Amino acid sequence: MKSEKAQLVVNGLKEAGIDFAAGVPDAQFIEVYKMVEKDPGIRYVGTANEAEAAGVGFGAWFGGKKPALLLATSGLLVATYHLARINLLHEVPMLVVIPYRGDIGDPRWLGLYKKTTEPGLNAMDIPYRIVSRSADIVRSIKECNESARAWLKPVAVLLNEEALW
Amino acid sequence: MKRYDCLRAVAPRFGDELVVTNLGAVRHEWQALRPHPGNYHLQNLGLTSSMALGLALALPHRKIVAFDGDGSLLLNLGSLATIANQHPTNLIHIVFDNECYESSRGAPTATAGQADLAAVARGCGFTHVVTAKTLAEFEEGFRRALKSNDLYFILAKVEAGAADVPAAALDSQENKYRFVRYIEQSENLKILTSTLSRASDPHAK
Repeated sequence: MKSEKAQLVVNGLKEAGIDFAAGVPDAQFIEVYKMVEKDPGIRYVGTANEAEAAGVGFGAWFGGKKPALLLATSGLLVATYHLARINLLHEVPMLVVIPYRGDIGDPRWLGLYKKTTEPGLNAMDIPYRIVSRSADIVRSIKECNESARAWLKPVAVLLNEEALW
Repeated sequence: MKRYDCLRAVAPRFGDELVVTNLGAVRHEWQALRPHPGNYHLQNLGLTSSMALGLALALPHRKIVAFDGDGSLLLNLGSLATIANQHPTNLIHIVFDNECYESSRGAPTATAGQADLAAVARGCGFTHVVTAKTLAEFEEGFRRALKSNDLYFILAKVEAGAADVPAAALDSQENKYRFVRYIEQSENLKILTSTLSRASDPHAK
């Protein structure tokens, strides 16, 4: 992801009021992680795995933060047990931002994640929006976070096509 | 040493501390000893340490106590490295190590073999690590941790077995609302978002 587009993701997080983020770096999102880590308005916690990130974000919400998880499509699978329970048992809002690796247009074969990402989100009853154009990144992140907070559940933003590459 | 005796010994020392309990019998035991809106009985195996970390970072002026278990921490061992690196000075991470999955009819965990969670915590970078094998050691470790303004890890080596206490009659939803409302009130925060109804929104279509 080019740094201009990474900046749009960070702008979206800021406009959404996100002040806490957790995750494990993904190659396609590395610029986003670097920017978030440097941003004085967002507390970033790099975790050892994505399931742990879900727990850290969950706790931060109870402490009054507006959390986001920055997850790879592979990491979404790692986080599934906790995300499913956070969504279905506890009902706590969390923005989940995912570079949609493995979708059509990915130059590397990561087709596994085409098979697991959307069906996984659907199975966990986590609503999501796919953002394909960079012009829609900021608005979509903001709207998905507003819905997460209104519905008290995680809501995901998946970036693909021109928005990601 | 039994877990319930440890909890009973330290319960009188609690004031407005926020507590996250592991799933299993510890939640019922703690709720019986300290029925308080500042208890969150997490029902995700493995996540106690991580939820407590998120709370501790979000509320750095508030003491957070995690009552974790060996089976739970073994599922999320990486969290010790994250906690040590983040170093929240307001967090006390207590692990009741009964060397088994008590809720799963007592199958042994890795700590029944060679694993030493206190050594893992030290290796991850915790500087205050206590291993308590007696009630006196546990009470003393907890007293020091509560007085301190630094991160503590306390490993309590306990016998398996749950106390005969009533079940904590809270489901995840009721527990969430009580806990979050308590934090809102005690921290003067607005956490739950109220959405506009048609009646209150003049621009509603």
